[in-house]
Amino acid sequence: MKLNTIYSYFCLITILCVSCVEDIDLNQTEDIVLSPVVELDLIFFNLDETDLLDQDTGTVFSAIQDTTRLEFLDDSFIRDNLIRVDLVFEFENSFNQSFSGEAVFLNESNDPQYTIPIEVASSQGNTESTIITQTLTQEDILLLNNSNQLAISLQLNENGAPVLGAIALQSKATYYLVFNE
Amino acid sequence: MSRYLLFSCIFFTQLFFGQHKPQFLDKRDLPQSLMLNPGAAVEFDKHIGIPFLSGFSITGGSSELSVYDIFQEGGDINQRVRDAIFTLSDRDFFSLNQQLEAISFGWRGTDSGNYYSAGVYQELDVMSYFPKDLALLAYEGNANYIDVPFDLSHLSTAAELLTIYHVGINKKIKPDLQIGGRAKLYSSIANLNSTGNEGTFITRTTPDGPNFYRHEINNADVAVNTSGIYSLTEESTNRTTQTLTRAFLSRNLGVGIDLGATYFVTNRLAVSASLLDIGFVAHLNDIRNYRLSGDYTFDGIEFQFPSLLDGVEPTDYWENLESSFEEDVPFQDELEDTYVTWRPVKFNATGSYGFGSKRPDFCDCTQTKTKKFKNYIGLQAYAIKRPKGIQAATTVYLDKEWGKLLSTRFTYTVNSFSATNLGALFSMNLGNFNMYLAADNILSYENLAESTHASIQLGMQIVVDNIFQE
Repeated sequence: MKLNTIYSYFCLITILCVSCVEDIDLNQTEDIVLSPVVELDLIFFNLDETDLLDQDTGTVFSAIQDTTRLEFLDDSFIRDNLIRVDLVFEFENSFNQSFSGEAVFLNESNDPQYTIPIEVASSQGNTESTIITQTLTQEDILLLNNSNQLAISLQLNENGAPVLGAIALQSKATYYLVFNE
Repeated sequence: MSRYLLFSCIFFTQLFFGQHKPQFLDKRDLPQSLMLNPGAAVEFDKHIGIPFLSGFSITGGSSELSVYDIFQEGGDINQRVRDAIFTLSDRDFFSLNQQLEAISFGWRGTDSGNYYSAGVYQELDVMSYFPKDLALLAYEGNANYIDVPFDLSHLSTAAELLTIYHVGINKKIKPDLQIGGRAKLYSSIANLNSTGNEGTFITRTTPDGPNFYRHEINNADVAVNTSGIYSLTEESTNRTTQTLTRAFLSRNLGVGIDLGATYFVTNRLAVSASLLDIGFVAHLNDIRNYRLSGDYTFDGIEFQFPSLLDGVEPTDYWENLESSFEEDVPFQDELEDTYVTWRPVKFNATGSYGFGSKRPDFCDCTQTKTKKFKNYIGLQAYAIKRPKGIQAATTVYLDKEWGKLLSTRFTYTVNSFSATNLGALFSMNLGNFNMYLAADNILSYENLAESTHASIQLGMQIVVDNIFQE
């Protein structure tokens, strides 16, 4: 009996004494970094000659431009954690003419903050594809800090040939985010 | 914030398994066995728990990951987090179950021989699957998963805090068969339930589409139901009073039953089975539901070039985008829809073989087939129904009595967490005063951080066995 009692106490005490938590460092939570890479569509359009010619006069519009707000750009959550952006603009042009223009990030007062020049090659019979890629580094992203709009302007460069064809844009952005606090 | 979310996922994924108590099932000299099988062949004649001290248990685990797996010293924690996210599947889970007996008592009817028992206990039960696809999306983004859907159904979590009132009866209907039942009244203090979610998010390449990709949310229906929580967030609420009132009797009530039986094949060999918590809780009061549902497709913003449209105001693309998204995939956060939750049903079965007569000089002649033994060897099966299917465990055990003072059980369990799970129960009797301590997965106590699963139960009570009073 006595032996049993001693045995049982021994077992209980052993369990209670040996249980512990070793060799871990919970402070490492500080070091955990989330680095999602997010692909998102941006702007697209598909225009033909009827969109570029004034139907009344038959003359080419001097330049066309459109703007959209991108409210997430100046969102502090994104802004503080965005380390890189890759932009891809792909133009498909079947006009005989080339196009010039720019993509501009604007602030609330419509002041340009960051500009990407656009030169779209003319078609030599088939549809001509022009891909413009731009990587925005952290320095560039500082310029986007106050931007909340993206504008695209295009001008058809007349060359005497008939204005006939279509121009389409596909675009996307790859956002590299890092969350570590 | 996302990082804390991820950390929480990982941390909780490490926590505990639920509700499996192999140390008490068919342990015929402890009242706790009645809570696991109302038809258990209990050997005592009266019991009363020391209020709030008669039974405390906490048990749980994660199916795959330990704290050590992530937070071990040295090395690159981000690599370990990454490995963990890729290793875990949406069927990996963590669960936590804690119970505290407030009141517990029982007695054997003098004429009928039936054993009646009743009591009140509090239970916290948390069950969460690893939201694999959502973790991947947060950790990696969608860039590496073009044309691969993210499954919103991976979000599956249920947590409940209840007070349970119960009365049970244990009746010998034949010399070799006894059955038992227990009626339960569930009083839900707080509940959070997000199961049965649906839908996918996918970024597709669209060679024939207007843009590079098409982002689609398909058949989304993600809902979180809560009861007994929203009012606590309101300033005017006296949280302490409200929680205490609800702990006593809430307005979110439910009912359920436990059923069980034991059959003596011979006086040494017994088989038993039980079903626990066949019941539900109706959540009618202090409800708040959060719901995101619908379908949405996004190709990008299509420029229309307003200079082409004489005198037409520029289109507010962003506002249109926001409003169409809110219209098509509305997030509702002020719903007060009542809901029902089913309690996780548990199944237990045992087969046991007794040897070493308890009192060689004593013959329990009135109970022909329920002779008591000093030692039992047994096999148990356990299963619990969870939102994504059944989780199961198997245990072999050895009961040994060391005189009147001490009885022990040693268990070896194979379950979702581990195949090296040794457990033990020590039950000490000083006269009618009983004290017990049980622990599961004892090998892991050397370093709990490396354990995926731990469980401990302890309590003290008065257990009277008339036979020994003679």
